[in-house]
Amino acid sequence: MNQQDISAQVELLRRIGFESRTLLNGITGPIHLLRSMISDPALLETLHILDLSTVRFEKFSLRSQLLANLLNPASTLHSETCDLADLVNHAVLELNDFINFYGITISIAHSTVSLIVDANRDLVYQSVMISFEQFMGVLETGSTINVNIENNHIRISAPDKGFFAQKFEQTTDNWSNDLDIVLLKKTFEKFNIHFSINVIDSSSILTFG
Amino acid sequence: MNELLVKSQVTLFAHIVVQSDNSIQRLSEIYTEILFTKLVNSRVGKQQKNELKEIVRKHRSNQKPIDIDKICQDINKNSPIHHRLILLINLLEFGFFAQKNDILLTQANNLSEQIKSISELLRIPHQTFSLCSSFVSGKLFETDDRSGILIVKSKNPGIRGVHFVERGSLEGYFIFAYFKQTNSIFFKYFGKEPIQLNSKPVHPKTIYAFYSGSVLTLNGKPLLYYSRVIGQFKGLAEHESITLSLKNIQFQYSKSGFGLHHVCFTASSGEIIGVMGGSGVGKSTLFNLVNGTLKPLEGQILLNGVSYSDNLPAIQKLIGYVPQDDSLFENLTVFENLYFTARLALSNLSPEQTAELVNARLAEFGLYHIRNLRVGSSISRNISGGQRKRLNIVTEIIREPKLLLVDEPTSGLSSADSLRVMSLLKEQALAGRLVLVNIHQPSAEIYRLFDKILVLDQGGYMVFYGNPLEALKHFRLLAGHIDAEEVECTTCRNVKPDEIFDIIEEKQVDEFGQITEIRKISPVELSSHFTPDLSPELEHASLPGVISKKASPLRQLEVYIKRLTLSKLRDVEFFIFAFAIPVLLAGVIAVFSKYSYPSQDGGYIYIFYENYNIPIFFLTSIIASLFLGMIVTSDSIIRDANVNKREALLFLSQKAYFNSKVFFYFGLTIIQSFIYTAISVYILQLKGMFLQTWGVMLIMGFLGNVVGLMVSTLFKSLSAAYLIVPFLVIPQIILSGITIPFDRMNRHLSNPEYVPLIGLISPSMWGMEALLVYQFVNNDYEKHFFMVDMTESQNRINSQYLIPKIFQLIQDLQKNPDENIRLRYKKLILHGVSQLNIPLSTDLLDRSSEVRKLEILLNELQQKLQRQYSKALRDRDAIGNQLVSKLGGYDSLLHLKQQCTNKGVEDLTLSRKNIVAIQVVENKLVQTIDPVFKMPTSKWGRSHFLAPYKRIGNMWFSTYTFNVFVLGMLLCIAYILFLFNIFPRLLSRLAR
Repeated sequence: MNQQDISAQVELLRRIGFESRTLLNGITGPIHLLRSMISDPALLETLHILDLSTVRFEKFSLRSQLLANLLNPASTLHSETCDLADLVNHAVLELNDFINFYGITISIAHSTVSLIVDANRDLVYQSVMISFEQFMGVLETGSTINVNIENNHIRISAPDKGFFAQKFEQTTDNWSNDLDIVLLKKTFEKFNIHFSINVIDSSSILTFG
Repeated sequence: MNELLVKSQVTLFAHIVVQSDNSIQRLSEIYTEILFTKLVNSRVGKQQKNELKEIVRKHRSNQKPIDIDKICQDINKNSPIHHRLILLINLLEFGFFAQKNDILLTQANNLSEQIKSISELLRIPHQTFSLCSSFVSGKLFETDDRSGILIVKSKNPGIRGVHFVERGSLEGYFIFAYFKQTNSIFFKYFGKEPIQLNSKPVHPKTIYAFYSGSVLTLNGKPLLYYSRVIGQFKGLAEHESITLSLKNIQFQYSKSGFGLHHVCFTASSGEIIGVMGGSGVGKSTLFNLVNGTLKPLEGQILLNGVSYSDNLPAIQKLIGYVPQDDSLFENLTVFENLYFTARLALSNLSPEQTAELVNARLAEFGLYHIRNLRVGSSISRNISGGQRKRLNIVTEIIREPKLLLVDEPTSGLSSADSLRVMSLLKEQALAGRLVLVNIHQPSAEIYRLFDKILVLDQGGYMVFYGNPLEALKHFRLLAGHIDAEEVECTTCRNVKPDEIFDIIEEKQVDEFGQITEIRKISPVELSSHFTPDLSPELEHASLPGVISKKASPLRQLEVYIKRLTLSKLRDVEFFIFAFAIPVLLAGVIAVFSKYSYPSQDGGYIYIFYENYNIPIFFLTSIIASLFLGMIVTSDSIIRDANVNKREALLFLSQKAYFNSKVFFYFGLTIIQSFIYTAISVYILQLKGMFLQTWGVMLIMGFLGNVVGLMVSTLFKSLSAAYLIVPFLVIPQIILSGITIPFDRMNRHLSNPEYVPLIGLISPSMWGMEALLVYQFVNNDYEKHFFMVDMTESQNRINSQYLIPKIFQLIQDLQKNPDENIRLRYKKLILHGVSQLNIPLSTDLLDRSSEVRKLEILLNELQQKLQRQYSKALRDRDAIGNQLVSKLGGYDSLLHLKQQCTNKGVEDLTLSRKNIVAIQVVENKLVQTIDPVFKMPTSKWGRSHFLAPYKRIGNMWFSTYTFNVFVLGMLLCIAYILFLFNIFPRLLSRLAR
């Protein structure tokens, strides 16, 4: 892809992010307001579902902007030391609603080991989130995602019949069809974080670190 | 949120908007409406949104920036740091809201810079800002120091550095943030469960302040208490924390029958527990059980699993007790009150370190600015009631007790003072102590401060123990309130603690609708509606270490003396009493006793000899010394009762405390008796016996001091102590030997030969005898004649009165045939001749030849004694002549006699009132005149009253020396009885 194409892509992503945020402005404000006003449990449940969708939408908007920034050669990304193992724990906590929603269990073999990389913390955090989200999207209710830290790498695996790995293979012009996956790949590439995807015994395995 | 804060908050939003573009304005309007709708209601939300619009419009049209410095200065001046923190959180939430919604991250970053600068203007520390920012944005991974973050979830997420509390029933999770500087806690909930905060719904992803006493519930069941959260943040280590457990405690006073029934509760470090109930329900009894003063009849009290019955002294060292009444020294300054306690309790600190600690504690309790003010009495009000109470509390806290018992801390205080005091107690709980507060009727604000409340009902029944808001719900449910769950006002968070007592005390109504005196629900029934949670047994029973290290007895003595001296010297009334009274007494007694003789020229002249009142002066002085010594000390320990009650848990040396009293009051007595003696001796011109008079007054004063101190340990009320003093002093007047002479006393109490036993235990007798005999024997005139006078007197009495009396008895014996009467005569004769050192037995008197021999012997002796008598008279004349020539004339000798001898003293010491020289008393011939010339016969120190010498074995002592020694011994005995607290112990044993 030449420089001109990349610039066009960046601009497109930026515009998508901007427009989606403009739409969200009209949604998130009233949702917040509604939360303060209603007490009916049924309405609150509806609001929660709406909220989950809004969160996804917000993520889409945010990640569009992040990807635009990441792809933009003119932008300078702030790098700092970050602990991948710590970010995994934070991501799992933040995804609690989705974990409950999909009925998935995430089993983390806790370790005191830190996996320090030099990268942009926001981007890496979003990438870790994306890893779990992608797994959750293809797993059946009741499945378990296992997380291990071994050989200075984080290993996320789940019995997904290889669907997670397939997502990484679906490309158009060498670009993944999923914006989140592009963000994950580009982030890891940008900050030289090694990652690999394998399928063993019908389970996809994502290793990075 | 008050008006200033609301206005400031909106103006700060406006400031950010004015600095930014239009997209931010729209977002800020939305956020303002959301914020105030959440905080108050939708009307206020809209109103504040319009207010924001107006401010922005005004400043944009003027092109004038908002003076942010002035706004922040106003906030800083009027708002505590906690309120500023709330402002910052709202600003950050707004920033986060805008950041999420604003497409241009660069602008959002600019926004966060603006908020940061406002935070600096609000004097919020950088670390607090950093935690606040991460908490609001949700990016906890950005924070390195995570000690201020707590996650509550069903399973530990394993995030490094954060606190975690497991709640298995929870699908979602909570994130709590704790700001040390302000002791503030905020939280956010993530999930969809029906969580309630103090019965109000909790909305996901919304920030809430988590105040003291708050409770989070899930499906109506308590999920998390404030105390649990703060305890986690405070990180109370297991070995430092304590758990108090009362298991099924039963107690009953034997006399009244009042007591406590089935009291069960468990409380831990970090909690503040309010013990509530009407008067006489057993609140104080409960405190006395917890501080170990009382023992339960049934049940067990445990501290960290260690039973009170197993190791009470060690447990009591961990307990601090603040009584309801002041336990302060009124005449000491605020600093001194605390400093002396610290010196007693913290011996491991140097005086400088102690002073530093005291100043720090005073600052912590808001008392530093009044540190040099005297505490004063509760009436004089040098410092306010609230300040007094705070000082009382800090005095106990200085030694770092783990369990703090505070009895009625808000009693008599204004609502503002009450709240301040309770807030300080709350801080103590937050610092890791377990605080139990006995409180009658707390205000709503105070009620909320409690982590748990224990409600006692009449008869000592425990009717509730648990969260304060749960208590309201519990009682409202019992009373059948339709809105039982609505325990607090939805807008102002107000609660009504009085409602609990209204429900408890609710009366039945009779068939006519009249309210009866019978309660709707009896205490027993009420207690049956509450089932206490029984805490599990602790696996390892061990007590935490004691931080304080009490001072050595010697150091305690030093501190006690300094404290007492400072306290008394600053007491103006005491000072006047202590130093003016001796002056006045000396003046009054000496002036009244100074009899002036009518002179030839029609005027009056003072001649010491003619002043018949000297013995009365001696007696009055002795009684005054005893009285003065007793009266200054009789209230001394009673007045310290509250301080002693508090310091009892320090286990200080009672002997050091008692000795400090002895040292101080003895010092005072030395000065008082010196002043008294100097003035009175000067007025009465009592020559040559200043030191001797002072010596007797001194010992009398000392005795009075010690007896007064004993009285002070025996009685609890001041009036009783003051009333007992005259009762102890008046017998001393009677038993002095001169108001009622011992030979004229009730015959059952008197003794014909010696001072009766009742007189021997009377200090006034020893003092009077010492002074009278010394005055008579050792005055500058008589000292030249005394020995010869004594010879003269003895020879005269024996030859002219005793021997003739024996002769008369021999004649009577020979005439009388009655054997019984004869036997009595024989005994009298034997007693008579024994005084003349003639050996004789009763049998011999039956033989006429032996009687004749005795008569001859007596005749010879009489003649010999007559000769000696004549010689003594001649010797006396010779001494007189020598003195005349030495002094330069007869007038000078007369003058000396008039100046040194005293008629009143002579009358007593020579018993001039007695006409008969030898009196028959029972089977004895008793000499009734010239006692001062009669040598005692007992080898054990006993003698007749006013004997010149006393004898122990073969050693002779002057009466003054001997009597002063005996007084010293009496003083020692009294001191030992006082020091070992003998009488109170005996009394308590008798009472038991």
